[in-house]
Amino acid sequence: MFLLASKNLLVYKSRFLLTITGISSAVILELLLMGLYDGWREHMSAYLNHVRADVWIGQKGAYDLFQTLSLLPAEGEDLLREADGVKKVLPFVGRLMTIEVGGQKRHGFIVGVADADSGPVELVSGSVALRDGEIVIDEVFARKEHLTVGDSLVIKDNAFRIVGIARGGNCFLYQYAFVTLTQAKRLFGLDGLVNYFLVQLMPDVSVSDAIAQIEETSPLVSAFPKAQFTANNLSLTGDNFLPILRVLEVIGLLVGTIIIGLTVSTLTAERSAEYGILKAIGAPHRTLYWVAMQQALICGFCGWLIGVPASWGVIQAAQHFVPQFPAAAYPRHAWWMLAGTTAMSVLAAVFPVRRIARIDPLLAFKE
Amino acid sequence: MDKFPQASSLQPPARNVVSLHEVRKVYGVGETAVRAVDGVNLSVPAGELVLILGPSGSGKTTLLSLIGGLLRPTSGVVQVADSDLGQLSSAALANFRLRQIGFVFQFFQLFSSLTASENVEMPLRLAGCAAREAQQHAEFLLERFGLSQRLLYRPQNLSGGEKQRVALARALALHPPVIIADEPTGSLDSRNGEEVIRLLRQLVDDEQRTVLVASHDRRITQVATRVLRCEDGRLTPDSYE
Repeated sequence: MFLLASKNLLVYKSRFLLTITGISSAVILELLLMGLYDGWREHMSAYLNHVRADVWIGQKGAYDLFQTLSLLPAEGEDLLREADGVKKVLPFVGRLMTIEVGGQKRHGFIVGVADADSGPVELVSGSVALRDGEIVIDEVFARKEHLTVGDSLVIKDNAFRIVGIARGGNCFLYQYAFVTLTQAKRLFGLDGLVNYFLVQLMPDVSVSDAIAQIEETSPLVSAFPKAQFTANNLSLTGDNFLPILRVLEVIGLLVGTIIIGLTVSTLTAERSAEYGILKAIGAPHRTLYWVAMQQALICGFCGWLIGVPASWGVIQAAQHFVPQFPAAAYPRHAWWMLAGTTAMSVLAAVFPVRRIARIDPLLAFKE
Repeated sequence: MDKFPQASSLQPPARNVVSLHEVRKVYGVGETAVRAVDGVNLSVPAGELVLILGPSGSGKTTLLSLIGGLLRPTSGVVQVADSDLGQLSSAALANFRLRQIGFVFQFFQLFSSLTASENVEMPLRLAGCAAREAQQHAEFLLERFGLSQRLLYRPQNLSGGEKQRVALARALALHPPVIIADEPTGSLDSRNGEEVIRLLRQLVDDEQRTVLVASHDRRITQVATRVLRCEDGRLTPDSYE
């Protein structure tokens, strides 16, 4: 029956092409949203995952870098270092700041680098060996603002020379930039204060035991395992923005389903006499339903086949024109989308199948 | 090809192939009820060509639909090829139509997107025949009807006579014992009409098939073994006969 299903579809070539275009557009939208969802989460967490810390320690009540403020006395570093099971302690200072580029005001999350354990994820060009008055910026920020190693920018009336460009610090709304710890403290006015302590534990020490001990001895601090702290930072977007993407994904699936449903329903209505003939000459109902289902599946599969490579092209183009666009393209997205288009097709075939069930085989006796 | 018994292997059955006993088909209820078929009794053994004459609306097509398993009778018994159609489920009835009945319609009713060969393959594919086997058998049938040069033509590129021969080939694809033809010459010119009549008669003579034809075409009386008249849902022997 595949023969009849496919040939009937191809009788109206322009309509079939329009249908495929519509479905592939829905597939592109879906893949873009999936890419945005995953890309956003990965970009937002890339730097925090890179930072070498088993435990983040902040002021009681603070739980992330973006929504809450944490201020701790710098001398806490010595106390923590002396605690049992602690291998290394690093002070962390970081804050969203205005960056002036060629007279234009931009934003960046400035991090004071104590050593490589809190530095950028991956250096693309230049050097990460920072001195006061030097800065490493993210490649997305560099492309967006047309900056390169050797160029200058201004933060709070302090001129900085770009000595390195790194990747892995794109949070869409802003990017990470790295200066020396002492200069960062001066910029933020953190005299004798830090925002967080990054604690690395001995290999045989349990993170939960260490956190319990830290919170017991210092009731004015909150301690988080690395994964928890990363998740806390993602919650800003995860709780507010990313669910919107999910809603858009559902809308995209519905649009795809409606397009397939419309095409197959129209085809079924136009070809109802042929379904009548098929019934008359002995085609069982399940065979007739399978014809409609196959047509829906052909539409869905063709749309998927075109939509997948097209979506990768769209993501590449989007990232070219909007460097901070955090979409990611993975093969798993394509496989998920294949499942999605199959579901769309099956759902879309429900109405044509109902129509087929009502077609009278006696139509075969009529003109 | 054992799914499709060859003509030579078909033995004339001892019993009637088609048997109707007090068959009624009523549409609607109460005062508006229409008796399309009204107490018909009919027995047709193998190897008969029965022509049913009658004006439009006399119940010819309804009668053929009852025999072909497209309709269920309101009352009475319809037995075709050893099957009591009233006892069959919808799925079994579809299978009955596929394997026991070959339909030939006035308006050919070919699938417009398929080639002549693919149209003939359709019942074979429905019966579960492999694609290559179905194609070979379809080509064999079309060659038999003089259409070997039209295998890959779509219906819109065939003449009326060619379309009806493709429809006949499709009807014969699974070697059904009964052929039901509704106005088979109704859409054809005189020459093509005669050719179709000749082919129908050939099915009876050469293959002992049972052919039931509903038509206005009196030329068919010359080849029919029996001529019946249908009026107001009742069958009577035709006076012309």
